[in-house]
Amino acid sequence: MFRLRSQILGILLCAALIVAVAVPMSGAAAENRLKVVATFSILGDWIANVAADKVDLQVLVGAGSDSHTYEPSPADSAVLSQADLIFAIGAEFEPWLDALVESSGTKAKRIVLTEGLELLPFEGHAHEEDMHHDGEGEADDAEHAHGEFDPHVWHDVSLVIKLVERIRDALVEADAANAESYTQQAALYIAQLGLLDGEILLSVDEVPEARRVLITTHETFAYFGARYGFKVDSALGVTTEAADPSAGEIAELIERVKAAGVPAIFADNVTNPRLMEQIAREAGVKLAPPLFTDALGEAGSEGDTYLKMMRYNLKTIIEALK
Amino acid sequence: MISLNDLIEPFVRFQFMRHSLLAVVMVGTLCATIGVYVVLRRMAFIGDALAHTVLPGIVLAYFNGLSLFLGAVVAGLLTALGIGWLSRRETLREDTAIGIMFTFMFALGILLMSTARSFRDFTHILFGNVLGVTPGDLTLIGVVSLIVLGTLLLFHKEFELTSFDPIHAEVIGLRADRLRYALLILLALTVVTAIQAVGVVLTSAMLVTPAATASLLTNRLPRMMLIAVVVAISAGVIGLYFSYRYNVASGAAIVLACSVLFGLAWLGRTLRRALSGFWARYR
Repeated sequence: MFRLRSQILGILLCAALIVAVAVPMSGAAAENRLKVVATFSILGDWIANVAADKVDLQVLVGAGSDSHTYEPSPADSAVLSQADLIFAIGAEFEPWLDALVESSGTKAKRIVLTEGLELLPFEGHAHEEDMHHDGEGEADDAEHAHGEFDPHVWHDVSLVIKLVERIRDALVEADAANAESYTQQAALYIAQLGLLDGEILLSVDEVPEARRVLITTHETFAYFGARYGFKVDSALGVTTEAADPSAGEIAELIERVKAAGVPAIFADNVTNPRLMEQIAREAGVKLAPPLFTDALGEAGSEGDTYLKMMRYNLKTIIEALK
Repeated sequence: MISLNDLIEPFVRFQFMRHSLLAVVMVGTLCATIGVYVVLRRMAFIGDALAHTVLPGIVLAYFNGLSLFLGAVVAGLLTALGIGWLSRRETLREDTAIGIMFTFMFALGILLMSTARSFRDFTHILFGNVLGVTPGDLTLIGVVSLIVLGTLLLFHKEFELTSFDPIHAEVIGLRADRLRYALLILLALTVVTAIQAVGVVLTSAMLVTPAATASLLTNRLPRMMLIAVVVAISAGVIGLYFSYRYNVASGAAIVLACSVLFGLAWLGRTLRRALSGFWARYR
């Protein structure tokens, strides 16, 4: 009898002890959770997949917004000043970040994911090489304003796997206590990415080889083209600034669309689609639904995660071109 | 030497060139005509201002799933009424009123965007490009042209008098305030329609430079309008042709052609004055 009571007492004491230790600890854990900032929606989605619920994640440029024309607010500066880790794509995709980091006085470590990666140079319009060599100063200026290299790496899933590994390593280094979780989550996500990459490589076969040409408003699909065997071409080149194309260039693009024999060209959701409509009408091809280019779609849309966005793009491209 | 065939080739060969041509002819006619009043009333920046003040309308229309163009038109009309009200009975000069409404509405648009943390460039979604003009745009410009030019024609005496001599107009019993509101509303309609078809820079230039060119050459209003329209259309055709032939930006080419024609008119006037002065002295 006495032994039983003392046992119960022992258990109760242990429980109390656990609660006493665990409750403040979980509080402390919430306080000490790693504060992570992602510059834009796609990057934020990768981090969310690796970090699960182990970090406080803030995304600066939200879904459906254009990083090129983004204007940071004081709240963003506050977010940065509290952060432990800042993830960016680099290659001048976030031209506003340097100033924001400086003004916020943040001590956070900045991880530029494309650093050291072999990036594609901005070649500008594909036709600049093969159609005419004479001066096209304006297009050149636009490209150089955007940087030497193309930052739109996320359209090649095999590169994204590398970036996710970098995210994992950075999180593990900054927060060793949750290393196991990060490693597991990353492995899961990388497996899904591997599947997606394979799925794209295989489904592309549904499009006859001659029709694997991706003609878009802006030149954002160079990495997609390089990985999955598409030629890329665009109406406005690489900039999303208010572009004022020349009539001669549009005429050439129309000729190229006709010559390419593709059944459709593509608009995006950040610019006025009417120029592409005009080109499609004149060349006698369809204008496919807009692709996701530089941002995830808003929550509830067909592109509200990276995996969904890529599958949506794949489906749209195949339906339009096959 | 360029043959006539070379000149018309792009327009025969490409439908988009024909659409662009039609657009610059119609936008040129519309903007140059009403532009004469813009220049006479010293409101040269109304075009640029309206391009900014439509932002809150576009943003609200986007958030509520309405037509962006409609949002822009409503915001443009509100701006016009605001400018008219602020400058009524010469409380403020019109250019000051434009400055106030321009910054107020633009800031309102940015504030609305920041509440949604959505930094899609709304203006790029709505604002057009002369090479991307659709048949729908052409119809719209046609309808707006009929309304605006028709009103200007019907009330041309009244508009002319209040623009040249507002005091005299008041004396003979014209309601200058009402006419000013009417003109501002017509302007808002013109600018918003033109911007969504051919973009901001081209609209602003078409509103000011041809009319300014014409004002160098004549003082009579109907003739001024006619010259302005001819200048605008010529600049449109020349600019489009250069843009095609030499691969240069089309909007910029048309604006530059306008500027060159203005420069020629300026030169012509200066020479004529110098010559007539010379003639008067030595006769």
